[in-house]
Amino acid sequence: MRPRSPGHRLRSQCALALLITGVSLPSGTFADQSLMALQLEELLQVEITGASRFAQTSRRAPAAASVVTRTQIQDHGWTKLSQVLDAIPDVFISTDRVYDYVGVRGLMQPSDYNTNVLLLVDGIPVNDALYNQASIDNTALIDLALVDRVEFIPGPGSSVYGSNAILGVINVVTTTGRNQRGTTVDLGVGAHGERGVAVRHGYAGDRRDLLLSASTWRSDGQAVSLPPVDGQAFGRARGTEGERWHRFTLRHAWDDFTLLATHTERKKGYSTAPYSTVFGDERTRAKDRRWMLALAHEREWAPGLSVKSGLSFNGHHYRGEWAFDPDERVSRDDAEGRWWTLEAQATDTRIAGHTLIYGFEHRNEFQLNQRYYELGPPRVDYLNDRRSAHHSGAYVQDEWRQGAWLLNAGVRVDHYSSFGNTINPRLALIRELDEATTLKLLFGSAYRAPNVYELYYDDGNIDMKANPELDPVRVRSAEAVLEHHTTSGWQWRGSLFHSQLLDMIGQERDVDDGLLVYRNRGDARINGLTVVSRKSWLDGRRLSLSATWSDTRLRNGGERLTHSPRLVAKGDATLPIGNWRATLETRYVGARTSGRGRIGSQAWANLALTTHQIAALPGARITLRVDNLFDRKLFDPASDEFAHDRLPREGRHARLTISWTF
Amino acid sequence: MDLLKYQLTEMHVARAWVFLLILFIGSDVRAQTTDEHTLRAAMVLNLIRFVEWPASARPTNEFRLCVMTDDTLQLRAMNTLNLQEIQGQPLLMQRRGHLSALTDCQAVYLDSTDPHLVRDKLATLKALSVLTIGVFPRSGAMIDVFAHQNRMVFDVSINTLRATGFDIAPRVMELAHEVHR
Repeated sequence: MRPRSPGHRLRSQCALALLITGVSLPSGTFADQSLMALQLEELLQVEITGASRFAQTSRRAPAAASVVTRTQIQDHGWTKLSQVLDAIPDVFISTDRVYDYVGVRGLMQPSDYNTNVLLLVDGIPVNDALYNQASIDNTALIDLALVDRVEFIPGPGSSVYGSNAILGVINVVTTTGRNQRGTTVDLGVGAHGERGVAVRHGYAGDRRDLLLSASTWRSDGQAVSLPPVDGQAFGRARGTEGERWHRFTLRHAWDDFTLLATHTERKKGYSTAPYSTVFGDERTRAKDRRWMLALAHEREWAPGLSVKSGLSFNGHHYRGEWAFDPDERVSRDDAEGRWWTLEAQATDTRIAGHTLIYGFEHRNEFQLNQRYYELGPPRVDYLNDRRSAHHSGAYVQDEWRQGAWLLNAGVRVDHYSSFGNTINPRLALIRELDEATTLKLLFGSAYRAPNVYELYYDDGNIDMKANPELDPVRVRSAEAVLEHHTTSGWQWRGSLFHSQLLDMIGQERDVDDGLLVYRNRGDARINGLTVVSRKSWLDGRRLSLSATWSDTRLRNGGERLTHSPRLVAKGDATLPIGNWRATLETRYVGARTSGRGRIGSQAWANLALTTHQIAALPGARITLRVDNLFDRKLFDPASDEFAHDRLPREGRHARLTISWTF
Repeated sequence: MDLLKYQLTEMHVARAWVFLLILFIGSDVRAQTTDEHTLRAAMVLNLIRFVEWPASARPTNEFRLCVMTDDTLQLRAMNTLNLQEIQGQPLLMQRRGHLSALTDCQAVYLDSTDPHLVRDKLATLKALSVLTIGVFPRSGAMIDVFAHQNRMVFDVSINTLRATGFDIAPRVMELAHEVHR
């Protein structure tokens, strides 16, 4: 038989798709009139998969915001916040195999621990006080199974949120006991010795809502092969990337109060020989422990005036252990940060047509300790830096609606004990052009204070030195957003953006002494465009396509920034097949440089299958997720703390999770 | 796994996407607006059918549902309720502005999360026999229809409802997400 051409096969597949479309879907979709004929009991069972209520709200939001819902998290089988963010337009993720890093609109900085994005949990900033790190990997504070939704607001957000909101704000909203009623047990197994268990319990009464969760997970890690570099042999390391993490969360709401207590601890080994450590030495590893205790209160004190206030205590302990010689003692970093935050925010709608938001925040970082020493005996200390810092901020924002126009203006003033005052305004002019089209013009500025690690860390001038002279990073941004909702439910969005980053902070090697140091690397500009199209159907189908093109360059000299791809594109499709839902994710990241080399463009796919309707196992949900489905050799650019200019990503990884709810 | 490695390539992903796009977009040509708005409109219609009006305010020739909303997608969905039958009368959906009088309405749908506006309107309707429907919990309306856990649910404020002479079928009370007294 003559082999069929690829074109013939493609045509056959198109024909098959059209056949399925024509035969199976029209009767399965809920058209308007069929919904009207349903009984109340049936209507209560119809699942909302569209985010149209959000879409309407988003029309008035002074940003090109994105939301990922709990249903999407379950359908995709995501277990890490970085996986969620990787599906959001404007965002791309890279990894050094121990920590995950987030880039926004083509910008990522070497050795930047996600300091340019602000991470909130239920509105509380959780970037730590030592490194300002937004934890989006397994060191994150909250188990993704407890997340109701993740919101991402690209662009400067300091006019409300203060420091770190340079490139965007991520808000993780936790679920409630009401949404998680009963007891759920998750059992998971995966490739490379991954296994774990999680238990959750939710209770909702008339005046109380309780959610408890505990989980423990571990993985032996993949083997890693690194090529020789500068005459130094590396090879293949197996069993050095073992990872283990535990989380505990309690959320208790009663009357107007909500208490959130959460603790997470993660240990992981390095197989990438950072800081010239011995390749494949199991003693090189990192441990992170984060915790938060937060009490929030919300009440409507008068008609049209509600006030939210909160007090939170946070802590972060980081321990890095480094084996520089197979026969020598291990060196250790011990960093401990503790801080408390008091904040209050009022929302005032007493003036017709206006929504006024005003508030203040005070943060006291009463313990910022960094130590670096060689384990004894005798112990040799290289660094013992102990500090404290504090800052306060006050802000006001007014949303004024006048017919089809909406003006949103705000300003925040902050005072830092370290560098003084900063003022950051924001202005948004929103016009509803017609029933379904909205134009937004957004202007704003933001800042990021340098953290104590960048300012004061040195290892006795062996490989890294301090730079107390660092200035804050600032950004000025302008953006035009056009949103359109078609009558058939498609959402389209185009964003044209321009940003100027002033005094960017990045790590580099000093050409005189060869030591790593953080420096203000000058100014940069970002110009770009994001296009998004998405739709959700009531029968569970979901389609999301997005592409971001950006040009990121140093202002002086026009050189392109390292680690920054010109094009990021992604497409996610969810399709119900019987009682299962299949989700295909595809990702494309354009070429990037690391300062020492270039990584070409890369594309890969992930697949998830999930079902919660198994006749033999009532109350069970099964999720199978395969990352890097085709086992592509993928790389991310490495920063200067690594000998290599690029680090390999994990290969194909499958994970099976079974959840029972009693 | 080697078999998977060699047989699944980028070409297959490209084909899968072509397949999916045709599957999604092709079906979309015939699919109508099927989202939260439609579901909310269907829920409002269903609930109204189970409400008993006070004798003095029973509709005679037509049932007038007044809708106050800036949400154009919701307005489109509510438009599909026109001429549906309510207690033997045809339903007439009418959009009203924020400053309009609502005294000629049998039911008012207040699609606003602005508590200032909702409170203001409810105050003017307090003495009238008009069924009020809000869109967030404890809005002050007699019935609130809102999304919860990816489902559309409703709360009933039974004291507010009965204070103006209305009643609602016990079956509906059983199906309510919450009944506020």
